Amino acid sequence: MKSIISRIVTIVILVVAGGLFLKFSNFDIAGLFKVKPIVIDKTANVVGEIRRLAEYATGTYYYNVVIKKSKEASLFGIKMPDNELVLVITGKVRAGFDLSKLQDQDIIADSVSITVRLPKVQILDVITNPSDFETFEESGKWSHEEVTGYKNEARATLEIEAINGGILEFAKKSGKENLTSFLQALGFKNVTILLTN
Amino acid sequence: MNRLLSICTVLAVLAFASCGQDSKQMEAQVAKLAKLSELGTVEYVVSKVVKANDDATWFKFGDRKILFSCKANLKAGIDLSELAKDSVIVDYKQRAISLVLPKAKILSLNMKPDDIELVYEKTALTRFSYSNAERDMIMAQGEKDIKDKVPEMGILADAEKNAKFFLEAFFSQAGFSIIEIKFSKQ
Repeated sequence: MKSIISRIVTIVILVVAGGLFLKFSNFDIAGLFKVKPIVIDKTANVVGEIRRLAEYATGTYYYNVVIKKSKEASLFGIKMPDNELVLVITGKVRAGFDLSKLQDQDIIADSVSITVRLPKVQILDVITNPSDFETFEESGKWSHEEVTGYKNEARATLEIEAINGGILEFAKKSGKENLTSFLQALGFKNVTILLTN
Repeated sequence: MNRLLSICTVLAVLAFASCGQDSKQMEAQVAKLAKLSELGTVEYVVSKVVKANDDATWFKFGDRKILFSCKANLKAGIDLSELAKDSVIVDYKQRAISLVLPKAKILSLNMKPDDIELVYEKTALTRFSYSNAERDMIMAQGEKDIKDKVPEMGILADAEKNAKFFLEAFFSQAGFSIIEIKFSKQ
């Protein structure tokens, strides 16, 4: 009987001591069972190509594209709920002028007047980076190649939406305004900006 | 009585579990047009190997490895919207211009999906293979690493050199004979 009581007392003391230790030692017991984040190894960034540019970007278009995909799933021949993948892509399209196409005859100036003929406005970049992709729903297995195809689909949608949303007209107008005020600031009284269609 | 207690416990557990579920709502599709005035003068194509070894969690048995090879296009140049009004001095008689441009900066970073190649993936039998969300999370770290290393690449110096070269040619064509282009120190 005595030994049972002493055992119970020992257990109670251990439990209380353990509780006090956890309370006052800042020991994070939950942290023990936390999943450690995946961290990439350090690797070099190698500059492979360098290109000289003269791109004048004058408009940008931000857009969210949602891609929903599903495919049939089965387990040992038994039909299971479909596998689903829903991606939310926040992308950006930049438009403007490739000024490397400017020829000498495209800039005509005298002391008070200047005429600049800009090249055709164009889409300069469709930007989607890995940090711009959110996997909203994912069930089942989706290969890297499959998802790459869907991401390309999203990029194509993004570009079409930007064009339909008027990015080219917007960039044209904005480019004309920017350049006019810049050349006026340089002292030209008469500024003419011609746009190539 | 015991049965009632069990039912209550199950309901409480279910209620607790449902609170923990992902409560994010699908974002609405929002479009926005914005003005820019950026002169991109250089593009670097940077290649990188992104690799990860998921073996840090002690209670997950078995290892997972993944290795990507990727390319990123970085464009740098001058944001002309940051050009201060007093940064342009023009002497009409001398046909001279002096311009202080803002410092070059990265204008865009683009890692196209086609430029990300999954080269190697190995998953132990006790583990699930990498999900798409995990693959994106790993690549996002690679993207951040490229952004962080920009100052070491020399791209900004090249962007300023090319901007100077382009603007000198432009101003010369516009009739200026004395052209001085500097960059802001801030």
